[in-house]
Amino acid sequence: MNAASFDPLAKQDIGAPQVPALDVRGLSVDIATSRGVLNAVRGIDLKIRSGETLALVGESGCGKSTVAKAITGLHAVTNGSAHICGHEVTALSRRQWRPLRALVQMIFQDPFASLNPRKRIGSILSETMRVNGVPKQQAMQRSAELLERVGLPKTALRSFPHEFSGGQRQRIGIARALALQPRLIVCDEPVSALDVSVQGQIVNLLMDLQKTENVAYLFISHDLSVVQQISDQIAVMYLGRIVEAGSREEIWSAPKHPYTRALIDSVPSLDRRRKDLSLRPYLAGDLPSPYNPPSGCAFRTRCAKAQAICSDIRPELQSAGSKHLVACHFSD
Amino acid sequence: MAQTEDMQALLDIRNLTVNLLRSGAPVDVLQDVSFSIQAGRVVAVVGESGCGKSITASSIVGLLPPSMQIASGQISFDGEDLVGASERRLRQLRAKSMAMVFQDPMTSLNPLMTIGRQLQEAAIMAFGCSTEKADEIALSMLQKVGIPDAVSRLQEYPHSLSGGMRQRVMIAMALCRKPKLLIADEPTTALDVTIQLQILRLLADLQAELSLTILIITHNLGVVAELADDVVVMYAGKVVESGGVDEILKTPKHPYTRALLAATPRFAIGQPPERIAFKEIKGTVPELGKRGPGCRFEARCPASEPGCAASAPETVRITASHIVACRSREMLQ
Repeated sequence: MNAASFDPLAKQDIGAPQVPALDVRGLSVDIATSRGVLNAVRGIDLKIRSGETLALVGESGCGKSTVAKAITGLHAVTNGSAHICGHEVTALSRRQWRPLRALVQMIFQDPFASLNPRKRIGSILSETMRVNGVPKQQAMQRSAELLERVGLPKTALRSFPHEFSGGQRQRIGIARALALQPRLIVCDEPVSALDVSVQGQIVNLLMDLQKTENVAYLFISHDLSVVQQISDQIAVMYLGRIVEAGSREEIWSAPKHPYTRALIDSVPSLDRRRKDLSLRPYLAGDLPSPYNPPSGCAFRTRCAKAQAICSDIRPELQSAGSKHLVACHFSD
Repeated sequence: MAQTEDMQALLDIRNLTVNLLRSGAPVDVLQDVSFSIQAGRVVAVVGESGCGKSITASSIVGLLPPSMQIASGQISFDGEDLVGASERRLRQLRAKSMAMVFQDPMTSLNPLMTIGRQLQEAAIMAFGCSTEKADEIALSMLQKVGIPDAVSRLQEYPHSLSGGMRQRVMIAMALCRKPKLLIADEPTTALDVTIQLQILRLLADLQAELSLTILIITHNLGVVAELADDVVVMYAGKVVESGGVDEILKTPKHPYTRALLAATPRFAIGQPPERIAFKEIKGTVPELGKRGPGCRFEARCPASEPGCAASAPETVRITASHIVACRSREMLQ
């Protein structure tokens, strides 16, 4: 794709349909900090087919947001490759990124922090199109269409972000991400800051848009219950590595990694009461320091099944079914 | 919520109305909020952002922001009126009888003081005891909340602890006072799910061991289910329904409670959830100052009737403990 022939409002050339929206191989990200080098992401593989959703799940500090930054060019990659619709993006300059920006967009967690409070919605939405050379009037017209697409009135174009609730702002964030008809949207905890009644609205909107726009999502979340409906594939991260990955059905029917099982079991349930709490299996301890991860399997310090081999040999991701990978010496 | 109405409640809130003072007419942030807490019970106040659940907690402990004031109603705690209480008296009560745990333990701990000093200070404030005695209390409470290697932790500063550990320290600091009432405002919201479960277990264990009375403020119905005996559901500054945990979660009567339950994802291992849309609640909560005289859920309510918008519904008693504010007879069946 070269800049001269680039029409930002045309459907992007995504190559043959079998070209994945995202193909990540052996991605590693090291971050230099005052406390030393942090290996935030350690050799992960991810693949998202066109128009599908991969949920990347894990707790704080597992590296999931660093993955998002790495593949959108917001963080330098140490090793490995990432292809978005066939375009290698890990070693691009800002200028080289520019024509590809239309392919991949982001939706952020905090709808209060991700919209400029001093700009009107019309200007926030049309800005990305204007930067990509769309004439002003056309950009405004498309902004109005986008607002209706995400369930807001056209009159919102003249309003400022503070006039909207959290859920409505997240809709604006989604409209902005859709402006250039991306093939991949990286959604970083898009509903974590929202009330449960509004979470449903936003997840439903994202599912609906996926059907009509044929856009793929990398959906990053700490909460498996949120991604249960939207995901086609699920990958679970712990301390920089993927410990289990598979289709939504496989993971939900039979999670194989003790950590995945604990993540699902830990979500408070409407069907349990206080008397059940002390009997429930739970994960003791904290996430180990990512600066000094345990030898072997990083999860062994909190794992009820851990044995000597777990500290000696790190389990590799291995096939555990037709569409299922797990990294555990004692997987279920 | 009184199972036995004649029993003296530890905390009793009657018709509490709190106003936000601003240019023009004051607007109510809470309107006619009533519920009570019996000693030894865990009561959850649940609702979404802006429903007034945290303002309710702030009203109890006398820590309303300067822009808000109690317009009417009573709060009685252990037989004492708190609405008319002096600032000095409220301070005494906060130091000893009513302890609070907040959502974000990092901003509630002093970053410049060791954990040990902060716990010691809490014990001295509560009991006026010697520093030696206070240190003894501090250490035993730190051990009680399950902090490994408690002796050396006393010397550390909050920044060197993880989020879950900080929340344990906050709970230890609350327990140092042997409070009559522990108010926990979203105590697990900032934590990861596996850590959240640890803290819920800790609260349940402590409650059983010490017969603690706990008021927990949360938006999470799962947390309510796992911890509470009694539940108060709030919407837009009003109590819409209250009752025992099974009454609220299994036989909810208010359309809002029902919608909230339907919107809460349910799942279990072994049952891949269907790939269907979430049940959402259409629309948004009415803004402060734009709340009409009628039922505040009316605009979003699937069961709204003529008349719902015009006047507020009477509260209806379903059982001795189950109360609902809805005029739809169909709902109350």
